Order: sequence, then structure tokens, then C-alpha cells
Amino acid sequence: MVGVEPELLERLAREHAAALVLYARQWCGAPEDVVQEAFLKLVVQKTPPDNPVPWLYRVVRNAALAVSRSERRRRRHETIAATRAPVWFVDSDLAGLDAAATTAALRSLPPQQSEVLVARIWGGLTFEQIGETVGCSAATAYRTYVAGLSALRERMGVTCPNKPITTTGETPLSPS
Amino acid sequence: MSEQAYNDDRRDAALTELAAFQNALAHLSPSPEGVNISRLLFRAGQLSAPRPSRAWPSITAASLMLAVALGSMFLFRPAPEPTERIVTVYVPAPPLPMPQAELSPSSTGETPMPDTTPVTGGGDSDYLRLRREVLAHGLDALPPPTMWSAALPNADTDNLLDLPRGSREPWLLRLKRSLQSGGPS
Repeated sequence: MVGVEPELLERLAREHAAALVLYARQWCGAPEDVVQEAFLKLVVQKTPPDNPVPWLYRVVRNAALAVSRSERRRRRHETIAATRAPVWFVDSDLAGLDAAATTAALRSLPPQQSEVLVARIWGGLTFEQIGETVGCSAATAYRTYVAGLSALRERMGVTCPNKPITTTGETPLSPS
Repeated sequence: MSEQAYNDDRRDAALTELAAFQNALAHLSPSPEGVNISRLLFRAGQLSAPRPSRAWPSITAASLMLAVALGSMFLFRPAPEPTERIVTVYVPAPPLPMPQAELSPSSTGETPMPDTTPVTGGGDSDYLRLRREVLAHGLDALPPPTMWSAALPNADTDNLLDLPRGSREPWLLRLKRSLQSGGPS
């Protein structure tokens, strides 16, 4: 390999490819190609990034946005892709949530919120890394995350006795 | 309980519920369909393989182009212009067959005299022989001029000039003498 050891590449692919595909689904209809190209870009890097996971998320985001812009020009194709969108998750008894309902709720969120949710929950990025990827501060990323989580919870019909939280104080959600 | 404490409790409870919801979401695994890891690793191996140097193919291509250019220049060059040269060839004169009669005067120190006897049978051969002798020996080889057969004798000069016969005037004598061949002109 040029910049990344094969073992590291395989480990990254096995641990993060699915989450990266989920992350790219926010914007484009062919996320697998975008993610694969991102991994191949990582391979040809002469100097590998210090932290490859946030680097991959940033590359996937940029590529998916570029693909989304080109897909937007082809409105018909976009409509067909939206009608046959697959379920983004695998059902799990531990979660107690319906995969299709979660997919639908996540798709209905604003893109800013859904990308922060995916990067935080399934990508495992810190809010600081999310801020660098999205292009905002860590505090803004945290606020967006909490707002998106509350909105997702409401849309999935999970009962919430209290109003959505908009504060940025000390929380059990561990903003770091 | 104060209002501030009530709000804090509500916020903590909401955050706790959101944390529980977050944990539930984290148990949902993203769909594994998508990236084929074996294919990805294969393509990564292809990309990371050392690429052959392009130096030699470039040099080969440049040499080929140069050869083609020079070949076309050679094939389609204009025809060379004819060069004009003046070549002087010195041909040695063939030795003249010297007749025995001509050798004797040279041996006695006299000027060689060409044979002036007319040769019957073709004027061209006489002319060529005379030319060869002149080229070989110079003007001395020319035969002495023959006397004009119609040259007038001294006596006829008086008739020609319509002079009185027997006149002994000195100027007439000088004039007659000058008109004679070989005299001062």
C-alpha cells in the first residue's frame, strides 16, 4: 500500500464502511460508490491522515454532496431513487426500535441534523470532529445533535414527557 | 421547590430520556449492504501496485518520432540541383612521325622546314599535318609564302602607274622600289 497498511484498511472498512454508507445516504442515492472511492482515496494518500475516521467522514461528505448536486439536476432519477429507498438499518431486539420507522424518521429530518446524528451515534465521532467535518463549532454540533435527537424521538412517536431540550449545559449525553 | 430547581429537574429528566433513546438507536446497526470489502481491498491493491516507469516508453516514443521525421525529410527532400564544373583535361600530344628528310636540317642547325610538297589526295590531311607541325614547332614550321604568280615584273610598274618609260627621276625610283615585294612599305 502507498500510505495505509492493508490491515488498517481492512479494519477501517469492516468497522466503518456501513456507518459511512449510512452517512452518505443523507445526500445521494449511490452511497456505496462514494464510500468506496473515499477508501481508495485514503489508499493513495502519500501521507496518511493522523486520524483516518474523521478524514473518511469528511471525504465521504464532500463526495456525497457533489453527487447530490449532479443528481439534483436529474430530477426524474432522484424521484425514482427516493421511491425505492432501502431500509437503512438492521432490526435489532436490543434496540426495541423499528428499522423502517427509524429510517423514515431519519430521512425526514433536516440534513444538518441527520448528518450530525449519524456521525455521532453510528460513526462515533466526537462533537469536535463533527464540527470540523461539517464546518461549525463543537458547541453548534452538540446543539444540532440534541435538537435532532429530540426531533427524531418525536417523529418516531416515542413518548416524551418534557419539551425538547435546547440548552447546552452539563448533560448525560457527554458532549465530548 | 423553587422554579429554578423544577426546571433543572425537568431538563435532567429529558436529557436522561434522550440518552436512553440514543442508546437504543446505537443498537440499530446500519445495513451491511453496500461496500464489498473484498472488492475494495482488491482495488486498493491495484492502486497501490508500483506503476512502471514512463521514462523508457517516453524515450522510445521520442526516438520513433525523430526517426519518422528524419525518414520523411529524406524521402521528400527536393532533387539536388545539377552542379556545373569546368574540367580541363590536358591530353599529351601524340609524338609526330618525323620524316627522315626533315631530320637532316635540324641536325645541321637550320630551321626545320616543313614539307611543302603538295600531297595528292585530300587537302584535309595536309591541313591537319600542317596544324600539328605548327602546334609542335611554332610559326617557324610554316612554309615560306609562295610568290604570287601574278606579281608584276619591274618593267610593268611603269605601265601600272602610267609613268613615262625610261624615267630616271629619283622619287620615281624610290616609289618603284617600295612597290616591289620585300621592300620597305
